[in-house]
Amino acid sequence: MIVKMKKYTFLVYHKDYGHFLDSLQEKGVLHVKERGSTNIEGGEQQDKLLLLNRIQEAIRFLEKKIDPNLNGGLAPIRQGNEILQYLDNLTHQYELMEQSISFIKKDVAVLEPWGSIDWRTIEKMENEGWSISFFSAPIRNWKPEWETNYNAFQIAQNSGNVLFVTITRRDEKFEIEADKVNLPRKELEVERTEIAKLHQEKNNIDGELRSFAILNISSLRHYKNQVLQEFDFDKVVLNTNKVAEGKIALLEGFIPVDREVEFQKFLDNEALFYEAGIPEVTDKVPVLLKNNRFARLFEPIGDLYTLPNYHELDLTAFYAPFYWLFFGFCVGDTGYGLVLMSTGFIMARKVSLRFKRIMILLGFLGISTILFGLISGTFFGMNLYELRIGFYASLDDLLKSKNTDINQALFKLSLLLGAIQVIYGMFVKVANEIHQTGFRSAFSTIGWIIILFGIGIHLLMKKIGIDLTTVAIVSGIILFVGFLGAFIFSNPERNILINFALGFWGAYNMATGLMGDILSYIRLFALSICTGILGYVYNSIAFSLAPDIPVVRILVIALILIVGHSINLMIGILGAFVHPMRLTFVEFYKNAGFSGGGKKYLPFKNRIIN
Amino acid sequence: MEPITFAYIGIALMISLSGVGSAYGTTIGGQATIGAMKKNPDAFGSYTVLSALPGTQGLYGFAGYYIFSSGGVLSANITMLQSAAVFSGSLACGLVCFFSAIRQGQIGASGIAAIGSGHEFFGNTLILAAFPELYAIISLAGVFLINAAIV
Repeated sequence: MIVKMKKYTFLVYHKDYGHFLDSLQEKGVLHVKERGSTNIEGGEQQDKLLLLNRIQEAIRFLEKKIDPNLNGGLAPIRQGNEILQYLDNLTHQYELMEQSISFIKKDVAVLEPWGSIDWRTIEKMENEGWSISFFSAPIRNWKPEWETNYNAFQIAQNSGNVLFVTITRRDEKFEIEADKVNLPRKELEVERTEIAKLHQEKNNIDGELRSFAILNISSLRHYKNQVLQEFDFDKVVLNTNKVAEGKIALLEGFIPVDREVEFQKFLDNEALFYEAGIPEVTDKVPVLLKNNRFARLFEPIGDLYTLPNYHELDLTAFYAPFYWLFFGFCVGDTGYGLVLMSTGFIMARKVSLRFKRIMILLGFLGISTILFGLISGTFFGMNLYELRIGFYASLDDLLKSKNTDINQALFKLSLLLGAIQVIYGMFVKVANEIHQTGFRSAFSTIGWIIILFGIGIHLLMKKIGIDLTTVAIVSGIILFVGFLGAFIFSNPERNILINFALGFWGAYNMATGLMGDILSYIRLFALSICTGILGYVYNSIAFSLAPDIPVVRILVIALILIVGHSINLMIGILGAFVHPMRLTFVEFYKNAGFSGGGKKYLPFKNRIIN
Repeated sequence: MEPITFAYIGIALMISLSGVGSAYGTTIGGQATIGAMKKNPDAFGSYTVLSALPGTQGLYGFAGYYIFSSGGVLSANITMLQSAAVFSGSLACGLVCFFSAIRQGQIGASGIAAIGSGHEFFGNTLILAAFPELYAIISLAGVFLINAAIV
């Protein structure tokens, strides 16, 4: 259900406006109406937005650094911008350490195969006119005459290459079949010591960051709320109209009807003029949902798509039971249902408030999964009909006597549930149309519902065996009434002849659309048997692959079953989450005449909790 | 060619085409995820879900085999008519699953890229990515109905 809103318009003297906005923010109930798109490019608002991003990144970074076993030695820094500055310095130093370590490691990697080189001796020799060169060549290319021609000394062999040094006179030019290596003039041990030292410094900075995180993260979060509050305030100022040469500020907004009384008391103490009224059809009124405890669990699912617009019906309570059923259908295994139900309800007591509702929803979806697991006779991949366990034996006999089996029955059930939801959606559409624009706008939908029921009654009466004349008369009357609604009076504002012509287009859309929509529900059956088949396969693999050694066999079976069924459950949950959602947002919403595009109710309020 | 051979060729095509399609589809999503992680690493959960969506087509191919196998039609006594039905149903299922998985992966990848750039498109992408899958499901339903008709 969408909470009713009242529209308020305020006229405030410009000198009192700042104080009025402070009080309004303190009150925290008014959703400010936006004046179209406000350009924040290059302004203070954009700077605040960038600052908010920076703060959020800093918070994310510090959250990863928090170590609850550490008691920080540093004193907390109070000012938000000082915290950011200090953090930037620390992370900059850390990055510099990492870069330095990386550079030195490269040098060490080059020097390591050569071992310790005495560069002082090499310098002395170079000063005396000698040239010492370092070469690398494949071992097969090594020529013994290099030792005599170029005073070549092998230093090491590394990955199929020979590393060697030549000592020649500086003015002696020579060509050699080897790659010259330019070594950095550094001592290997010195470099290794430097790396160790830098690692130590890096660890120190990391320790400092961890202490810093514990002490300052709350202050940073507080700073974020402060900046957000200022950002909201500036946004409201941007959405204010200035009239009478800037002397009067005009602000519009919406509040929930149940908060009106206390809001009026607040306004009576303010020096301003205001007007309250019912929002117009053209107003983009914010949406606040209020549903029963069961339907409220499904609101996050609706949020993934779009909120309803204020002037139409909220469909959460209408689709919630179907989503619940479809999820269970798609997973359809009693064992998996027990796991989901117990996990959901147990974890709901342990997780934070943010995840509590999701866990409770999981628990309820587990109940539906158990229900469909019992119907389909599946328990952790075991087919109870085939195993003929308990009453499933007599159920199996009953199905066989009717020349069918449980899979055929589930196939038909998926189509039946689809037909029920689609027709139910059409009834909801009638309610939606009456709610928005009055009874006359619902004639077309009512007409089509009557036609569909007329066809259904016609087929049913023929199947029962009622005489054809009665069938013709009864269904004829019903179809005629439906025809009037769908073809003649479909649009009360339009000419009857145009309605009649467009009725054929409506008929084509109804026939093809209805067929496509109902067929779409086959996915429930397909997902259900896929989950069951995979569970069966994991059971077969576990028992056939396990070796015939007493204890080992049990362990292997248990391991394969746990891993296999866990994977199957995760894949099953993914499909069961996505496909019923798709059926809701496409098939059900379409047939229910849902438009969406609603904006969430976000009151202008204080962000800082003292 | 023996009718049973003809039938099993169809089964092989169904399982392999649907499996390959899923492999391609999930790979496309996975590659997009690696790229998006560089910009927005916090949304990995959303990327995983969208990348995993094309995985179901491979299951449908396998489920199709199971439907034929459990119906008892895959035996040495299979008639030419039955084997033709198995082959054609399997081929249809395999081809549809192959292409729908790849295209679904591409939709998922676009959504992943958009989320990586900071847009809140998770729900919208989920809905759009489920569209190509309908046809894979209908092909599986076709296999189911064909099996019911020939058993």
